[in-house]
Parts: sequence; C-alpha cells; structure tokens
Amino acid sequence: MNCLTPDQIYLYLEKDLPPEEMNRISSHIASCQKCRIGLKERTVFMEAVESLPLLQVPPDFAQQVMARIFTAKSSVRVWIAGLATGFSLVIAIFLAAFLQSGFSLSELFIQLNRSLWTFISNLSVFFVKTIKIISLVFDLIPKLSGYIYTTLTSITSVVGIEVQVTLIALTILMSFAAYFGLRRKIWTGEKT
Amino acid sequence: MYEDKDLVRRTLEGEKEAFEMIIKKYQTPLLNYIGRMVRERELALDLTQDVFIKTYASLHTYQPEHKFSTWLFKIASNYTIDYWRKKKIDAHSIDTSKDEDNYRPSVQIPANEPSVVKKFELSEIREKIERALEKIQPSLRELFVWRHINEFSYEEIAEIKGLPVGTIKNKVFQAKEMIRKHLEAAV
Repeated sequence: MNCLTPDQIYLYLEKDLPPEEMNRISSHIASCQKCRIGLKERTVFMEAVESLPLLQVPPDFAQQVMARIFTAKSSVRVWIAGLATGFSLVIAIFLAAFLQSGFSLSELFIQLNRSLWTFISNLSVFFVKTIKIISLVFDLIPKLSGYIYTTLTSITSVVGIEVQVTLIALTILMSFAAYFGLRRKIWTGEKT
Repeated sequence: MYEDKDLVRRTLEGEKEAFEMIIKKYQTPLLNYIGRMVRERELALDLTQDVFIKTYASLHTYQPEHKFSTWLFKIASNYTIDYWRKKKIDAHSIDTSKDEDNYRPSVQIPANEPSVVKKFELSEIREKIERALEKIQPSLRELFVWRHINEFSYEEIAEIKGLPVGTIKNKVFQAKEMIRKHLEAAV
C-alpha cells in the first residue's frame, strides 16, 4: 500500500471508511513511521479542534430577540388596526345615512358628494381668511411696537422723572381695574 | 424536548413561547457560526439577532420535509454573505477560492512535516487554530465551523450548500490542512 494522503488520514480518524480499508490503513500505519507521525499530528490537531471553546450568549439574548420581533410587529399592527377602524367607521356612517335618509344609493352618493364639496369650499375659504389674518398680524406687530417705542421715547424726553413714574403707576392701576372689571363681568354675569 | 417541526407549527399558530424555545435552542450554535465568520463578538450578536428575526419573518416558507437546523443555517449563511456584500467585503470569496483550486487531495503526506505536537501544548494549539481560522478563505472556514464546531454531518452540510457530499468532505479536509499549515509555519 502507498503512503497515506491527508484525506485518508482524516477519513480513518472519523472511521468513515469500509472495514477492509480501515484494516489496510491500520496495517500500513503499523509498518510506516512517516504515516504514523502524520496520523499522530492530525490526531492531536483534531483533539484541539474538537475542544475549541464555545462563544457564550448573554443570558437575556432570547428576550432581546423576542422584544425586537414583537415590538416591530405590534407597531405595524397598531397602524393596520387604526386604518381598519377608520375605514369601518366611514362605512358605518355611510350605511347609517343610507338607512335613515330613505334616499336611493345614487342619490345618497350625489348628496354626499355635494356636502363634501360644500365642506371643502367652506374650509378653503376659512383657510384663506385665516392665512390673511395671520399675515396682517405679522405685518402689524413690528409697526405697532415701533409706534409704542417712538411715543415712549418722546414722552420720556419731554416730561420729568416724577411725571413718568406717576404715568406708569396710573397705567398699571387702570390695567388692573380693567382686567378685574372684565373678569367680574364675564364670570359673574354682573350688569354695569 | 420538543421537535423543531412542532415548535415551528406552534409558532405559526401564534404561540410566541414556541419561537422563544427555538431561539434558546439555536442561539449558541448560530452565534458560534457567525462569530467565527465575522470575528467580532458584538457584531456577531447583532447578526445572530437579525438572523432570528429574518427566520421568524420567513417561517411560513419552511418546508417540514427539510431539517429545520439546515434551513436556519442556510438563512444565516446567506445573511452573512449579504452583510459582506453590503460592507463591500469580498463576498465572492465565500463561494469560491483560489486556494481551493490548488488543493490536491491525492498527494501523500510529506516526509518531514514540522511537528506541531512536539512544539505546543493543546491549549496553545487551540489558540493558534482560532487565529489560523481568520486566515483561511471564508468558504472553507464556513464548512470547517459547521463540521467541527456546530457538529453537522457532511450530509447536512451538503444539504445547506446544495453540493455533493464528496465535495464537502474534500473541502473540509482542505480547510483542516490549510489550518495545519498555518500552525506548522509557527513551529
């Protein structure tokens, strides 16, 4: 028999050969020092391979994976449930309107279409007006603060410190009086 | 102990605990496979989690006539290759290798092999094997890990890779000889 190849040695070590082949290799090894050394080297190598340490998993690993799976899944479920509820609600309202109104289905669609259109046109007018008011307010605020600043500067340059203090005190007093008067009127309904 | 197929069926029926049992059963083998492939513990833990999530998502496609473990490791193998592709690491090397083409299984062992046994203790050999694993082609490393760390049979590995059993055996022997060459170089 020829000397062994590495593959033959590994198959021999794993006993992955027919019995007669195992016997032939055993006989050859007994008589061949080179193959005996080769077998010894690979036996120890395989012993080291088979006893390589295992990497350890953190104790809460499975819980972490489960949390990742079911958090992602439940957030998708919440979205789907929300959409389904909204859709069902719209269908239910439509059905209730259909049963209550006594209209035919086509009439109901026409009515619904009209109401929707009116609602959208009113809403768009409301939006345009709101935007106009907001832009006006934004225009007015800097102008108004400019006027207040100019007025205050002119007053302080004309009148003395005593008069300024008196004016400020009077303004504060009048503001308080106006505030409490208004509050009383609103909350108690008292007529003046 | 529950059968994998029962656990899969119960998971598909909505029993969360059944999938948790699958995770607990395969977390260590999977981490040891992915850990030896990417060589970074934290990354390996993240990828192992991803593999379980991917497995859960595609559980309905599992065919019970196949072994669950081989199906799971096939997902893990594809996921690792995808990860390397995304990271622009040479993913091609996990499928083919230049070194594999040069291997001749019929060559007899040489007369004067350096003796690793005489030079190193068993614990030192183990350390050197771990380091040598990094140096061999991923395609061979994967088969070596499946055979000797995950303890799959050659038939199971052949099923995962879709290759003949003989080819798998040759490649595993080749991986072992390449690791041994790295060990001999240290003598």
